[in-house]
Amino acid sequence: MAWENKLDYRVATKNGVILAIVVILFTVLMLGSPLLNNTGRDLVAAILIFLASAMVPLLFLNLNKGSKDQRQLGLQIFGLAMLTDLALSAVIGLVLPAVTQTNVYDGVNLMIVSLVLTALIAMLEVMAFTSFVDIIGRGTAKNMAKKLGASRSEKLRLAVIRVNKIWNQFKESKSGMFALVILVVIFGMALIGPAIALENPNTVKYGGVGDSGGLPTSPDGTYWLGTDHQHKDILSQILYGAGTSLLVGFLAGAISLLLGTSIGLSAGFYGRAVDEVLMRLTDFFLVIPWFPLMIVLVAILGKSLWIVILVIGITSWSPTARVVRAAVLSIKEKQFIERSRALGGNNFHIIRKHILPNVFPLIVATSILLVAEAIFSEAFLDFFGLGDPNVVSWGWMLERAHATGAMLNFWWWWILPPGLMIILLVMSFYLLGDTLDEILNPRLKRR
Amino acid sequence: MARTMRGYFARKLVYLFITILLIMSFNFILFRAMPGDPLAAIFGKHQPNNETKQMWINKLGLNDSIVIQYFKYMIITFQGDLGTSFGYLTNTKIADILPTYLTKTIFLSGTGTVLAILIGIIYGREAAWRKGKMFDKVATTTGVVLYSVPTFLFALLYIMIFAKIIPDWPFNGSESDNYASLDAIGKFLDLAQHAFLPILSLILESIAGFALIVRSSLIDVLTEDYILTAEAKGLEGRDILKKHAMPNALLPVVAVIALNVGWIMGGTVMIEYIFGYKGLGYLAWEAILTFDLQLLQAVFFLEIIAVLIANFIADILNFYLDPRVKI
Repeated sequence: MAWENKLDYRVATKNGVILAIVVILFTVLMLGSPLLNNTGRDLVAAILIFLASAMVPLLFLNLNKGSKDQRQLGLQIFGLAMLTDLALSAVIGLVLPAVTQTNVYDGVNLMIVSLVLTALIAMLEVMAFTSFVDIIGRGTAKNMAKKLGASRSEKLRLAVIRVNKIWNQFKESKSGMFALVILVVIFGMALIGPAIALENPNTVKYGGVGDSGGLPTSPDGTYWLGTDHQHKDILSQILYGAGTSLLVGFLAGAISLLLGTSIGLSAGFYGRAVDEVLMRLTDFFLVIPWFPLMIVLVAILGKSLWIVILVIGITSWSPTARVVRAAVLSIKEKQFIERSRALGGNNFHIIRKHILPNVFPLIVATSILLVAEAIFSEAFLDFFGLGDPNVVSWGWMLERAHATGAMLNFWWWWILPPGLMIILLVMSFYLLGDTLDEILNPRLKRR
Repeated sequence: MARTMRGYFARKLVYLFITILLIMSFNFILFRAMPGDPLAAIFGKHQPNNETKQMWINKLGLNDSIVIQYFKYMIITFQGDLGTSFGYLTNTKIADILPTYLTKTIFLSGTGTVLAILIGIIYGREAAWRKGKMFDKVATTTGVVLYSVPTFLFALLYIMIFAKIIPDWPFNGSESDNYASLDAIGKFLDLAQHAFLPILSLILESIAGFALIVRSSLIDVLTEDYILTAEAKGLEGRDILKKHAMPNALLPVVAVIALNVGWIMGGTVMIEYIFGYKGLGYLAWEAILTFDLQLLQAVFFLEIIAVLIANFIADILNFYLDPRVKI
């Protein structure tokens, strides 16, 4: 790591630990307070999660030691981590409870899981942002380059050039930019959607007594996209659904990516028996029809958002494993691996320093495609009535529309919006993955 | 050559057998790893009286050790006994009712696959041949959009449009009520009319998938040196395409067909559910609705076997078409 001598990961600030304990105790006490309503508790929980995740960078970054440059860099990283944490805790504490209809404090389990998750993410953040500042922060890079030795400044310069080059190539691709714009819009919807929505789709709302089976109303001034048969606003449901799709897409994609990469890496790197066993397992998952498998798993394990995410994750990793294995096999035979081994590099060192960086471009492109497929699968499961009945999502909307007979009655405003959103989101991820794949893994030479 | 073919065939057959064994073990573990009473899993919400229960405990040997249970399950399944339905149908041997459902699913997915491959290949070929021109741009964009549409959305849209324009169009089931009284032509038309929308919804996504693969593979092939040679020999454009480019461009497609069978099978489940088309997918939906896990297990098992056999056939086909496999 470039900044090894600058940021001492091992030194924990004693004061930071004490402060963390005090804050957590205080917040837990606050949570129990009868003065707060549920939303208040969520808010406090969000703050708690934020503080917990903020503590971690504090523990890792030694902000009051070292030279001026080192402290400045530490502060920059800390700032970046803070901003991300803020967004993250807002999602976990505010958006997630709104979407899943569970108050964070309601389930102590969810609370603990979120805390652990945020702490983990915060740790990764420090690592990621260290290299981020390294590469992207051009101003910093220039500043640092002046003060550092020539070799390091050269390294930084090259890194900056590489990122710029990728971006310039990306800018040229029309489909890539289109996908990026759509994704930014949908991300925006997921983040601020619940705040600007007309109503919470989960609130029980009928037109009047005995009006539970009323007719949907077509779009008008109040309800821009009309309402469903319970007079709930379609637009609000669309806004709430964006978060669900993205959440499922990214989490399930991450699980699948982790499984696929580690299995492909081990199979390719260790070879022989390990390879044979792991590849038979991969073939097994590759061959069995994914949808029936998911149906069976969800039917047995239960209909909850987390189970759906888990099931999608563990049923979709096999293509990634194949791709990664093939890449590892070709890299393994290169001479620099042999040299590294001759210099005394062990397996872990070789995988981390030589193999992972080389398969990384492949993983980036694959992971984006995985997200698209996870979103697809979630819509399928939801539509089949196997989604979490309490979570608003686009598949869920279509399922309800189908069950109510929206197609036969031509209630288009209930079918087209969620359908279009699914198509747009999935397509954007496909296009983005494709564009990045073309840039990072150039196979098709432009002849 | 004959020996290598036999060797290849034998290896694939052994893999097929191992995979089937794996699937059966997986099925065994999956439905017994469930929390709670295994009898509850078998009967679901429809608890029978004590005698029947006792009979099932004896038959499945639930008092035996898990290893003996496992071997018993394997032997029973190999004998073709897929269990008894206690939810959707009362006390019916599943193996007896499955064939009617299976034929419908095979009809849907078989016709769908063949049509998707044929149309997809033509679609992709024409797009690649006109690479960079307007036709290609429109075709590729349409392909990407179609590829991103979930199968069930096609079905919903078709029903919505057809219901508006032709309200009398049959949207439910695989045949009319008066099917038995129709003559041969009437029967055929009736079946075709009922299968039209399901198949149309089923294939569009696969067509797009195949077309995109054919297009990129053909574009790759068209830049090869031997195409230039063919051109230098004085062959006309279309002849080059037909005789030199297409045979090579189709190889990746054959490899993808095998994977696509599973995909189409998944789509069939959804389509059958929406159109009330009484195939395996419809049965799976009913099984979930009535919490009939025994039936669900049987359907799952049968679908996997069908996909495995289709894969096996695709592998053999691949062997004949692609000389590289023989090495």
